[in-house]
Amino acid sequence: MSVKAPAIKTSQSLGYRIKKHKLHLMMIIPVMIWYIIFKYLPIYGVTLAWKEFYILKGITGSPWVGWVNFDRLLNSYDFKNVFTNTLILGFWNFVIGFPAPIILALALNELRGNAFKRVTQTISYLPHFVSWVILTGIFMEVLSPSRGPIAAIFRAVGADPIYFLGDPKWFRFTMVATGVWKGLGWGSIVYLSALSSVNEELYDAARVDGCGRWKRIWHVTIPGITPTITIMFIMAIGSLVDDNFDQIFNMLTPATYGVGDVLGTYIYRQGVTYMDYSYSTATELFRNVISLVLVVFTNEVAKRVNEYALW
Amino acid sequence: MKKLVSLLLALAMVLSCTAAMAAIDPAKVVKSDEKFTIAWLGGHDTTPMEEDSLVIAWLEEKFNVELDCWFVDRSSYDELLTTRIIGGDVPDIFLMENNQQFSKFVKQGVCMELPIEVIKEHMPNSYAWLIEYDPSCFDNVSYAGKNYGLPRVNGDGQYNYAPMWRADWLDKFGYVDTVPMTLAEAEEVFYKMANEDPDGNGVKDTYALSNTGMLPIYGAFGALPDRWVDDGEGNLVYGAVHSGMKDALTLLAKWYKDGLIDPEFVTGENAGGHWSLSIPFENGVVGFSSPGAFYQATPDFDGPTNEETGEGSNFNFGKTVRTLANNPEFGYEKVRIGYNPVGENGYHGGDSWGFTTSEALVFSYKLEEQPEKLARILEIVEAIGSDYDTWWKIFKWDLEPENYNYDELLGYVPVDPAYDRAAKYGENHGNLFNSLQNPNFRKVYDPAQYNWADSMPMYKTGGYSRVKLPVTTESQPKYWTAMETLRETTFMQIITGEQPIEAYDAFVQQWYSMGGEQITKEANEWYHSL
Amino acid sequence: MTAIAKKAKSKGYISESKFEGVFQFILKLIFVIMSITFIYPYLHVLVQSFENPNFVNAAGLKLWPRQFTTDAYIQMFNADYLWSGYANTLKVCFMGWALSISAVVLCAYPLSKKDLPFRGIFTTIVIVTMFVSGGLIPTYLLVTNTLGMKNTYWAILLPHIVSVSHIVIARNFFMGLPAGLEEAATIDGANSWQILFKVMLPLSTPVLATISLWVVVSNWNAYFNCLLYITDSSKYVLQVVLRRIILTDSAALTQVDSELSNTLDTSTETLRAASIMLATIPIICVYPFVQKYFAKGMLMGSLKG
Repeated sequence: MSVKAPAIKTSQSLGYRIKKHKLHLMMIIPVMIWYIIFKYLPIYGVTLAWKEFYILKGITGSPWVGWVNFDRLLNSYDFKNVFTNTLILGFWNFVIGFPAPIILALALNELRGNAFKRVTQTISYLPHFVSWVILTGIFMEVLSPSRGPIAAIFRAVGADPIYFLGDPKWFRFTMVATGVWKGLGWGSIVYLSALSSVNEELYDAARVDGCGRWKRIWHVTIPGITPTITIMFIMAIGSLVDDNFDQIFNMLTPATYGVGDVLGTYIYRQGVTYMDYSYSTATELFRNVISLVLVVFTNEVAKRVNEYALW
Repeated sequence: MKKLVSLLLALAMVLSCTAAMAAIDPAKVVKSDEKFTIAWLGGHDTTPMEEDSLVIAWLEEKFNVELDCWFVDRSSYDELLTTRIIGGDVPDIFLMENNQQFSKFVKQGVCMELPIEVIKEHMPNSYAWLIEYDPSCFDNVSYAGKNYGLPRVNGDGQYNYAPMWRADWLDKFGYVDTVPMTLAEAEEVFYKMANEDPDGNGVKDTYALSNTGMLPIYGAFGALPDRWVDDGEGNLVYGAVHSGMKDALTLLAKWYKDGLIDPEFVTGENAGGHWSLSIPFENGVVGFSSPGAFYQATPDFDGPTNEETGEGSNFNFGKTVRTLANNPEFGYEKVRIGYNPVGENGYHGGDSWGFTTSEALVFSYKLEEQPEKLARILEIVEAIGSDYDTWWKIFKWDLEPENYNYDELLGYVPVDPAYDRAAKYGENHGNLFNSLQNPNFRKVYDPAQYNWADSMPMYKTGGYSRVKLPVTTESQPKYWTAMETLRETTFMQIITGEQPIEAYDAFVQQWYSMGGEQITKEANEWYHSL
Repeated sequence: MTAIAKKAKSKGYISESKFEGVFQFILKLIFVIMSITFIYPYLHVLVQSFENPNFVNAAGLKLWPRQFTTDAYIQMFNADYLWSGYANTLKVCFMGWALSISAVVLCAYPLSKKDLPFRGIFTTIVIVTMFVSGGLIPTYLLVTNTLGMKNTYWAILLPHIVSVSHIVIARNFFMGLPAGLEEAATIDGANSWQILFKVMLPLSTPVLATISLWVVVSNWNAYFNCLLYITDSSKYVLQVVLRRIILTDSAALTQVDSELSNTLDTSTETLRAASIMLATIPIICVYPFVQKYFAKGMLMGSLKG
């Protein structure tokens, strides 16, 4: 086994590979069994999307109803608006929210002074622990055009205060800004951890080559965390249609339905009053199908760029 | 025992409904001696009952049952309850939080039919007071002509909302110790509030009303936008498309343009805090608001209070008023509770919960086979729902009445001021068994609050009930959310001037065509079947 | 330190130092401003938790309590089950952490081998669960009726051991480690287990620390499954215990049930704030310990050894 086989690995027979990876297989099999039991046995639950659920009959005993639930979602009066809003918000959340934690991590990486760095880092992830219910109350005060400190700053420079939470023109901006702000520190942790394994010698070599800060970041740091960025990128693309429900649900008002009502809030308003498992399964499935398409596409692109794609 | 007697005597004075006082004779209703195990979810509880609770032991002994007390967290009540039911556990008696769930459970046979005759037979006293309060209270637990449970009532719902005015502002405008009664008078004052600098700071920074203040205005035109109302000819019509709504919106849009409405009404008045708060009212931004119910506007009674925290140990003071009273720039003397202004056509009214809530008590389908067990459960509900002594023990979680003296003004006052029942047992413990919530009992227990409310005629002028249409019609799940979204958006845009008032006509047409016609038809079929 | 590094130290820094001071100052200024925005909400809740209940609803920014009181905390600390809640949460977090980390490593390490037999099938099994899930009901039926785990922590933990992103991130990390390490160990006669534990895991502390943090924080904050599966009060986790103490606020949402909302008063707000503090402070304190594993140059040292 210790002999390095110069032959191309893929040409090795299956039997040989099983033998070679016997221990690796032993490691992975229990996890696969877990997957089968806890993720695949319950999967029959998706059939609810095409059924009318009868509590006492159970999932398997409930009658099939065809595409009624999908029809209800896709042909509901507001669907187009709600879906568009979801995509627009998802898009901006991605465009701003995906690079932001990377930039924060890179900035932290450039900081001198260990104590300062550690304290800032810890502080940056505090908002992750405050729920949107609480944050909404706080933002209502802070962003209020009459009482808030932001409005006071606007007035001080002679501008009209903006009604961030009530003005449809500003609502999406507010959602993206507050959402990114909340997830910034928490999201940067994964990149910080990746940064810690970038080989220091590469930096030294870069310095010797006369690379400035930006070149070092571009040629050493970023390539060093590319595997992580790739995965986070694909995951983020996959969640383009997962609106930030807790946030929008708490901040949405009738004035901003037109721009801020998203799939999650819309389904919630339908679902909570008319708690309907079949319908929620169907909408979930609809979202997942979109997510699947996006992820498969992104993954194909990623595979061509580097080897760190999902599969 | 002496205390008990005086307790009962005091009760007799306060209770108008003497039927409710009748003692229970268990021998009459219980046909079986078998000791049943009852899975009980007959009320809301904020915390689970302790296994070794005195109350459970007492109930178990008195009614010869074994109680399996359920606890379902209220934040995801429907989801948790339904999931457990799907898993095969069905509580024998359980509370349904909303009528949509109710009709589904009935349709799917999860809860059994409970004929009115059975209720009359097993719980005559409770039936009597329920019917006396609201003869139609069983409408909301009936489905296709059959009865499927017990209605859950809310005594506080007898009192409609009434608006609050800034007393000092009214004084300035000539309403000393009075309030504007008609919409025209109110409008005149509203203009002054916005234009004549009532806070005297020399800056035009005041408005007349914000979000909740609009409800009484709609009410003066015959409907609230989100309530079903009777159109006067015996038909239900949705408030948003009621004939008076266009005029109401015209007026509100004009007010908004003239600067009477706080532009921040869009994000509501409570700024994420408790729903009954009005931040603009508290801050002197608006002078008219209707944010909460009567008990959120009660003055601070001289009840037994904890010196340190200012907490009433026996009374519940409104959040709104407590905030006001402690605001250095405010104070309760600046609140004047007024009437919902009367419109040109004589309409008036604000929000109102209505006596019967949208909750229902239902019984497991498994009990169809066990009439004796059902009878035993009904017996417990009847005892707690119509016998004050039993209720007191259960709901107030206090098996030692000797700890209290009865005071006519204050109700039960602890003999030892340091005795803190809430700390000992938890504020809402016992709610699990407070299935019917007999409103008479609360009035006995907490008279100051209700005496005050009864002395304020504005809480008795009637409002627009939330439960005019307690059932969910067949088509509602399919269309309702989109219709409501359209309504809220359109109304908001018309008021803020983003859309002209003419848009209202298009809205009505749209509303009817996107499902409103069908739902109105179904609603009326139900309404006429009563 | 290598020769290259020494050379860089003597040459590189000098040419940069002119701008470095300015750069660091601006960067720090930005971080200070950002930190203020990050701290404020937390400060707000902290202030509310020490506030006299009469003032909690007052509008405006909260920077200092108007009337300082520790009543809310006293009430919290006197409540039944608070300490058992902490103990249970610790237990759940530890069990969950051990399960998750083992599963992630045992799954991700083999998947990092490009010639692993059935690699495609295994990957598919993992990835598919991102897009298809049976939902709450079948899982509930499986856990309670089939496996009979009701009222145990297994019910809370087992259905959520690993997530796709954890596995993929760990796998990519393993893939990124220099192949020479393993080859060297293999030559030394180590088997796969020994390589994993002696070579790979010590090198993977940053990524394992990150995943641990994710897993522990999510177990720490979780309450829905406890509400669903645990019926025994003494087994309640901290989040559920805290909810019990503050009374659920849903009465404020429905408005209908005034028997309940009637008795909700302002002290609830301070209790809620205090409960947020009690629930978050311990978990926030975990981070500095995790941070330690992000220190630089760990990989380099091992490579040389």
